[in-house]
Amino acid sequence: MTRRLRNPLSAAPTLLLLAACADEPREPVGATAAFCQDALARVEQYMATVPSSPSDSHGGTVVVGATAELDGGMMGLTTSDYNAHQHQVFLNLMTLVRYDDRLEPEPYLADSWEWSGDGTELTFHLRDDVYWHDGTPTTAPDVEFTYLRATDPATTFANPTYFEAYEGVEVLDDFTVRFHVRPHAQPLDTWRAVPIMPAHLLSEVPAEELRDHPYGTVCPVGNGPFRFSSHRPSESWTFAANPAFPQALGGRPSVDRYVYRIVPDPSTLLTELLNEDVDVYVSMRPDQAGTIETSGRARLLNFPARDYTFIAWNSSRPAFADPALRRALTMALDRQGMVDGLLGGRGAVANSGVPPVHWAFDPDNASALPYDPARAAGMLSSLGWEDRDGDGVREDAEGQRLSFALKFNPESELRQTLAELSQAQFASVGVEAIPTGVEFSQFLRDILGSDRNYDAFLLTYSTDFRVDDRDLFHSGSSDAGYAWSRTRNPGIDRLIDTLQTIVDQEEALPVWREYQAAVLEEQPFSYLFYPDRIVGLSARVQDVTMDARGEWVAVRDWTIPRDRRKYATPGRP
Amino acid sequence: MRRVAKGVLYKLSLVAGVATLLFYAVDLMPGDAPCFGPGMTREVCAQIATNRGLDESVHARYATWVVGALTGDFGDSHRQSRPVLDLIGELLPNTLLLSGLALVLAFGLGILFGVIQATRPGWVDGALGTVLLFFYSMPAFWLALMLILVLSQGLGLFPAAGVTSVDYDALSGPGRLLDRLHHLVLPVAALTLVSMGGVARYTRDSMLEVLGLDYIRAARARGLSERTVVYRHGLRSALLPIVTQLGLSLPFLFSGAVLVEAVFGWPGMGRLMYDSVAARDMPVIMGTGLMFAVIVVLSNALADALYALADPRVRYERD
Amino acid sequence: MTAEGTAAATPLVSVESLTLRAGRDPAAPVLVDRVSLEIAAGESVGLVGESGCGKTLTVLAMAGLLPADVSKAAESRVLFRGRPIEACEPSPLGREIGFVFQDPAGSINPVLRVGHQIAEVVRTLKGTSRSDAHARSLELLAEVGIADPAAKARRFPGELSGGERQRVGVALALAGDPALLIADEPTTGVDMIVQEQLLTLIEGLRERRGMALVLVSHDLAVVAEVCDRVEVVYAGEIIERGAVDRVLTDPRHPYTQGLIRCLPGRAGHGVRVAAIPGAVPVPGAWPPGCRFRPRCAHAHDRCQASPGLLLLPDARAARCWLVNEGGAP
Repeated sequence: MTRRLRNPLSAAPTLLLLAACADEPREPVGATAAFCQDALARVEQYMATVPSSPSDSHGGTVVVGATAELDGGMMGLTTSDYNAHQHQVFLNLMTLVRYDDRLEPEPYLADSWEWSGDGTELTFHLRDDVYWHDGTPTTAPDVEFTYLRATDPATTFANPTYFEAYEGVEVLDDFTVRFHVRPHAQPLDTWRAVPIMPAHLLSEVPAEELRDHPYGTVCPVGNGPFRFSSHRPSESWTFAANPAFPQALGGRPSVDRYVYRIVPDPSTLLTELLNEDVDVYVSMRPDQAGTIETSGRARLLNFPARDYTFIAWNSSRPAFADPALRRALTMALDRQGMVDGLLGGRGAVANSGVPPVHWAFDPDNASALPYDPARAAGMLSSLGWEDRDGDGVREDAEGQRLSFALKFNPESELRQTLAELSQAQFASVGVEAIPTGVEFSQFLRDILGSDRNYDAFLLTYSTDFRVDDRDLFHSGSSDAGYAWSRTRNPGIDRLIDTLQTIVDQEEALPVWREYQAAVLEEQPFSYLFYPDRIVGLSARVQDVTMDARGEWVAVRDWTIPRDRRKYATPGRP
Repeated sequence: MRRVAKGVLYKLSLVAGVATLLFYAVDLMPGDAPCFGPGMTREVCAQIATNRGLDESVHARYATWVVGALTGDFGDSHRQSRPVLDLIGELLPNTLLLSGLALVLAFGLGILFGVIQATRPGWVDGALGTVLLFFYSMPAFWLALMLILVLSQGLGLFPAAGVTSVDYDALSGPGRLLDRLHHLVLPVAALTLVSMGGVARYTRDSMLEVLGLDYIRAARARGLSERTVVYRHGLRSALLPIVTQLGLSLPFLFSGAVLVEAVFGWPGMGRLMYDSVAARDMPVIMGTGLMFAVIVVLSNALADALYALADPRVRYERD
Repeated sequence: MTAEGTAAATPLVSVESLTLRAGRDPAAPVLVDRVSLEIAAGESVGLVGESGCGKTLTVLAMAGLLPADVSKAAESRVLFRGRPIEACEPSPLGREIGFVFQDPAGSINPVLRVGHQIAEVVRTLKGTSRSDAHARSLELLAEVGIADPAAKARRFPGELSGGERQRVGVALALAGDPALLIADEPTTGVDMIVQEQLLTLIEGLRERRGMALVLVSHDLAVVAEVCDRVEVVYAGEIIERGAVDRVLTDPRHPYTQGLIRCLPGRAGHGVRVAAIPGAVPVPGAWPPGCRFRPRCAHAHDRCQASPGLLLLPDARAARCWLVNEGGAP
């Protein structure tokens, strides 16, 4: 035969070779390439000069597994992604203050702070021993830069309400910075949330380019306990212990290396945890908790957080205009049953957006709208909704059926189940809810669009430590994106306005109670539950504590005991 | 020469047409880039769109994109904040490795089993056919999950996800190769098992058809051995349609890998495309879409070329 | 030469009561019905008849090449040099029996170069080296009259003319230097000039090599040109046999007579002067008695019964009641 068929297998080594070539860190091309090369080179240079004296307990690699990318990476000025924000404030960057386990502010990058007598000047004194990972000291101009960029609309900072009461900034010296503010509630919460960014690297970047700047995902240079070492898109982020992290703040982390792995499929991720290829599985699906418990190969950790799941009622639709009807609908739902059945008891029934971990949470509210289908049915009848044609669904006097589409995004299995469960429970009081799954981006368009294309929808939302329902319920914002219930209640408006101006918590507490009662009465949402956050831990990782502050709050302390270390670490015997 | 130029021009216009269609289709797609969460007000979302130039008309954006694309600049991913080409450069090798190996194995094993079936009628043919059909009719992602449950979670033989181990960088050269192969086993197996049934079936039928042809009978009549007749004469001709199939399968394996990549946490083009559509990350959608169009066109050309290589009739009839 | 004399030497091929059916079922339609014939070494025999009467199947059976969907009756025997052909080891195919197929385009692998295909057969049959086989393939191409064999050997079958392809088909059949060449309609689909050349080639090859030849054709003229002896086949049976010149000048069966009338006139090519009315009945629909009866101008009551192959002097035979009545009507 003069011409042979090519051996098809000869392609395989070529492909492997190709992939092996891809191992070499790729140098980004384009105008921003120089920025990142330079920044990372200087980090390497500086880190080589830092004396690293790991103690015996230091070492090992901890691997976190999650289903999603850290969207926006370490760009603290634009992140709205929960996991990314956690990595910014607890690993790579620093905030001026942080919360202790009672959620009280304590010093972090700021050693101390003081208020002027009239409460309009907030002065921070920064630590002088915090360095950016390239060796540049972290100073007051960095704080000023962060503030100026965050308040510049072009930056598209993710939460402008943090700075609503701010009027200006002043750098007093290298380590002292002063803000001019109007008195407002929980003023330090802003500086717990907003990480300070490196002015020496980013001040030349135009504000409108910050969100998509490669600093965030290609070459972040922080000042926190972990420094960035690599990011493979959709695959992993790797951070290394920062030996220069101040001893006074606990010094370098216990582990040498921290890896955040992205495994989009929850079942695969569970296997990875059971195989100890992942040590910390964050945001676990509640139905997987049982597998962990029976496997004996990993352990569970769950803690109450700031999320809540609810059904929003579009009160501009005549059927849902009456608060009494909305209360009746809430009472038709067995919310404790949902917590027990769907969450395996890992959560609590919700009655407002104020979570149990919040200092103003009103525990007495919990029993206010009990699960009582008989009473709910009676209430619906007294409101004129009767099943007049015997089809099992109530109608009003005009024959309008009490029937609505309950939208949800089917990407969430939990909400899919929840929608079906609600459908059944509503049906038992003669209300027809039609579960309607809508792909997430279309779902967002439906619920955020000005045409309010929904009767009711299911969602899990997250509140801040500084609860502010203005976007949700204040009539002044009822045309804006998040005014899902289209609530127009002067009492609630007044309470929301008042709450944000009371600085003293003692003074605010009764107002908060009043507000929670008012929300209960109004029922703009049927609040269902506060789901706990569930985390799976492998036998390798120890000293893990987590609470409402987040999964990563104590990442510096996570330990892989010597006999559990299984990965070789570059540059360490 | 003129015909070659015409062919190239045709292929280029095809790619350009696909790109144009894609750009406008994505623009018409319901839903925007998710802009959502506490504090992400309409003003913030609108400003993000302005910063990214999304508030311009679709024609203006298309013009900008075309100009960029012609100069080799496909823009930056909004989500990953890096040039689309960099992103493709990082993820494409992963997909090529996975899809490439699966393709080679699916066709290699598929052809082998197809030939065995065609030459051993009776229970061998039946049993092999049943087993292959069993895998062929399974959804790839489901088989992937089963493989993970049994071979990874159950027996602990292979890692369930990822391209390399966490300590890959600390491994020696051969160690790295082994580590990569170790991670490749399950995803390659999943892709191969579900696709080789089709190839085997195709080969079997093609082989049976060819073995019934006159020139095969004639070859036997000339005293050639059964081996020579079946493998040199029969298989060679039977492979012709399969070669075409191979060329046409290249893009299929690119797109077909989306679910499998997701299950195995395999950072590849399938997931990049999927995520970019979910996030309405226009530069990535367009960049990957264009690349995909080019791959389809190239695969077709490759299929033609392979066919011509394997079948002289095509070659001399063109001259 | 007497009939006894021929029988004394073992014939090259002898077919005894060959019955073929379309399928394994004993009730399946009969395609070839109790055909017996012998081919002696060096002899050239023509099988003539219209399409569908079983000529091709008969020669395929002779070579042991029956398709899988045709079955041979248990009592049928095909002997090659006196031994059942299936039992011959190694198989005489290629080595002793060369087969030239009806359709050269379909019987040569279209995706392999012709030189390669010939050399492959030479290597298999003769066990020669690659280079010797290549040289031999060029010789064979030259022998079958292909000009510039070295260049043509590198061509694919599709790149050759119809006549060249059939010459390659002959070369392939000759690669094993067989004692018997079976050519099944070797001139189908070529024009008259090429047909003439091919027949001359085959005749010449037979004489030079001293091979026996079995030539299958629907055209009596073709057989007349090349063969010494002819077997006329109709509806699965041999209906007349004898030396070609005798049969041609003195046909005893009305069907043979019809065939001769169909021959183009000596004067002009391609002019059909007459045709036999009707068509060959399909297998399974053969009438009882004489199968030619429905088309025969001389059909008679006794034709209801089959006449059997009636032996005549000079090794001739015919299947017609008329032969006993002294010659042609």
